[in-house]
Amino acid sequence: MTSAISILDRISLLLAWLSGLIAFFVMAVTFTGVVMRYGLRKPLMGGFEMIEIGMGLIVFTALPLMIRHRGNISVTILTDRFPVKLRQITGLVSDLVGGTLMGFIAWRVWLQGERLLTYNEVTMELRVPKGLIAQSMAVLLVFAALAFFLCALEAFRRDPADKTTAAGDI
Amino acid sequence: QEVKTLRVGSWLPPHHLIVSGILEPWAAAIENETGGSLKFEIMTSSLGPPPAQFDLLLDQAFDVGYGVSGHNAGRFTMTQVMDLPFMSPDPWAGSAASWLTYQKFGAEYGEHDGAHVVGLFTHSNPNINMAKGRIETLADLEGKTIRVGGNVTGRMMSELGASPVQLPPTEAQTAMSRGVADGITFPSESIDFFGITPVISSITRIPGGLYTDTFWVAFNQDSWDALSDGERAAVEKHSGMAIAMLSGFAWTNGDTYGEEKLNAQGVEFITLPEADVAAAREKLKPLETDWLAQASERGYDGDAILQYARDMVENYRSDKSVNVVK
Amino acid sequence: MGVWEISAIAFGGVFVMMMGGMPIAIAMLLVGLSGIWINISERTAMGMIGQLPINATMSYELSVLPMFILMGVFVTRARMSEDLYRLCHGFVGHMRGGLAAATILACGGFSALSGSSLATAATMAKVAVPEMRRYGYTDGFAASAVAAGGTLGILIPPSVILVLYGIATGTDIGSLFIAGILPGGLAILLYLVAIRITAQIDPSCAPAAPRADWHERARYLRSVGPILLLFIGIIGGLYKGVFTPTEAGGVGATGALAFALWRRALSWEGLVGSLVETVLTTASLFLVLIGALVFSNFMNLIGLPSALSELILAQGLGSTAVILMILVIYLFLGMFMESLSMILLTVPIFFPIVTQLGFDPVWFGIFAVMVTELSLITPPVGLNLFVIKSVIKDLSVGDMYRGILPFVLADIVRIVIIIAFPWIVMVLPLMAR
Ligand code: NA
Ligand code: NA
Repeated sequence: MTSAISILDRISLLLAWLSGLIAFFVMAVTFTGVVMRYGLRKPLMGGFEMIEIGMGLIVFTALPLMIRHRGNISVTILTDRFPVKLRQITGLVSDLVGGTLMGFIAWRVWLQGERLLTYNEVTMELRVPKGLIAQSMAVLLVFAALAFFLCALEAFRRDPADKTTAAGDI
Repeated sequence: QEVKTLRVGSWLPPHHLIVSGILEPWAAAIENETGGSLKFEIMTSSLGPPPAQFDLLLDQAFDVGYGVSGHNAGRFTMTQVMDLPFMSPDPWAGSAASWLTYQKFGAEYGEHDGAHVVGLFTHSNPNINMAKGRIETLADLEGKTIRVGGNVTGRMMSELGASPVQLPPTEAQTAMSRGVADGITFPSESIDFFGITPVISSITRIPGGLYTDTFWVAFNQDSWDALSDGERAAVEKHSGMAIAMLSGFAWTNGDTYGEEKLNAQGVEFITLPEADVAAAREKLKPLETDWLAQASERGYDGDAILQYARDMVENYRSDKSVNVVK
Repeated sequence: MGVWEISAIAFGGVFVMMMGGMPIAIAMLLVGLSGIWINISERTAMGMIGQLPINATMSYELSVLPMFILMGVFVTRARMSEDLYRLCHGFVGHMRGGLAAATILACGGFSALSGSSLATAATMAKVAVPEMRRYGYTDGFAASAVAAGGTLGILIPPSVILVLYGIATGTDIGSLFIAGILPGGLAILLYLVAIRITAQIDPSCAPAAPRADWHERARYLRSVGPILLLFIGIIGGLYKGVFTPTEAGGVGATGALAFALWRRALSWEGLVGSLVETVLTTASLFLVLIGALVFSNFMNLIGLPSALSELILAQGLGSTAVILMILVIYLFLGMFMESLSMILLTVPIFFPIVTQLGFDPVWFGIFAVMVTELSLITPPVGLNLFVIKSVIKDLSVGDMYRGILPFVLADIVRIVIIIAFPWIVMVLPLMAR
């Protein structure tokens, strides 16, 4: 059980590093595009689309770790005054609802991916099948669902009021 | 009397010509025709970005929708025959030909399955609108940065020697006024609609219609099947070629309005010389070859579709000289 | 059930779940999705949730979100925020309420490099609150100054909210950015006045710090050189047309990275940490965005926008009265709603009404940002207050609720001023056209 948890957490971390790498890539593509257009009077072919695809992947690769770090934006002024037991119960409910929703969305996004594949929809310039992008998002959403369920498992072992990191507190 | 209300999904502001000049009169005509038993409610805010519209329609988020075929690259290959360079010389011919081509080949190729298409139309001729500098010949395009909306127009501009920059319309005005782009491809209607008029100094017309987008108007199949025979007849009476006709008027009127504003500002209008137009046609041939390859990849008779569309354009073009002894 | 009843239940449901500690995004997703399912159809709900996450994230224009966040993270890692604060401290710290004034000024400076209010508040809280405490400021006043100053993040360009507004309404983002500059100056001015008056009424809440000499001041001034350079580079590049507002994000982040490297303030781990911090923030923002879009599609499908606009237009009010009415609605919503979702939900409803009445889309964009700023600091749901609380754990939210009043009043005065004198917003974008 604990080893399964630590494996999933390691996957979440790896995915977040990948997400960071994509963010760096988006930054580099934007900068290069400007330099090429202004300096060489030539556009970076496919730059627009690389950024679009990159954006979709940044969000979903970072989602599992964000959830594990309890980085979701939430309002805690009332729950901070709850007794610990009540706070743990509301936390458990939130995590279960979150996990179920993420799983449900993963399933629907996967099916939308199938639909896009049957229609041969591709991105305009690089002609990447949109269905494949959608289905990668669906797989990543499964990890997001698992991340929520892991948080639910730990609901009574920790006090949800203390956050390990503060991603959601931007 | 029982009133059936159909929801029309819309992603453009209510005063845009597609809404006020095509959808609203079309809906009103059908409401009159059915004596008010069929009503249309055009939504004022969008449920998703333009490329999402067809899937939203399939999921019956609304009963009637419209969208741009080219926004779902690879999906509406047959319809996009009209998007090839120099296919649509004016919005009447382009709209009529796109609808007639769909009528002939649409059912066979089934690109719109799950929806019942009632109309297809194209927009008016785009011009090259320059903030700085003027385009008198193709050679003048060399080294100019031109804002384009999508990669097909981007490719055309590259083939013609310009340097395309793909930007969303929300950044078009800044891009033009700040000099990120020297020029922009748009019909005169859109120049005014997006508030770019003040920065334009010259406009080059390209006879024959450099490029066009093909729009679809469709019912969700189940929403369509739920209509009575009488209601379907009423819709059909005012759809198809009637929508093409509305489109012709709407875009032409929109351009007239835009050009009034541009003229009031003293913008210079230039027409690309015939020899340059011919050269441009030649340079843009590769796009046609690519489309034929995509069509055959999907098992379509590309040559037949292209020829039929061209024939229909010739039959319906609006610039025929008449009362002239030939 | 009519549209009003359904909307009331939906908003009430989200509010209750939110107050119960459920992530705001999850609450909106749950209510939006089940609402569409029950009130429209299962098929529409299933289809919408399948395609919305794809369309909402794969957006070129929204790439400014992670890029501006990344820029802010790099700037903070390079300790530029501390330099900025020390500079303002050195110049105005010795006056009554001077450290609070320095906080506002430093927030204003940081806002020029950060697109997010929450990021600005979080960054400056770490720097400014301990310093104000050291000189005997009350907790409530110190934290409130940072919370209010932090809201400048979305008014002074670049601004994530202005980008979202531009996309939602088709308004030119460059014009919106330029329009935010003068109102940003006005905001700083009014906050300084609010601080001055508060310090006058209750001198014990904001004592003066010792005066810095000119030698020190010159040193501080030199240290903020890089920030100034970066800001001038971004605004200058935008103005000269080297890049677009969206590209400004990527260019700014690259510039901030270059400065951080040049200062040797960024190790390999620091770079990875910055990137991970950025994408985690991005993910939580986008989850809220997806939730808000599902919820607003639900409101859209049941016909709330048309019902609301009919209600407002049926009163037969003049344009100023309508704007004041919208302001009151926003004040109310802003107390209870999270700011990002508030804008995403309401702008599509109000935009057609106000443009029909002849208001300029750029002006309304600035108005929308100002009401969002207000919502960030008004109790009970004021996100900037929570952010500061999460950075400085031992602050009491109750103290902050008391300290924030002067700044809320300053915000309301500012909104009334731009209603009365719209040219403050419009003069720069009109000149730039
Ligand atoms: Na800012
Ligand atoms: Na609030």
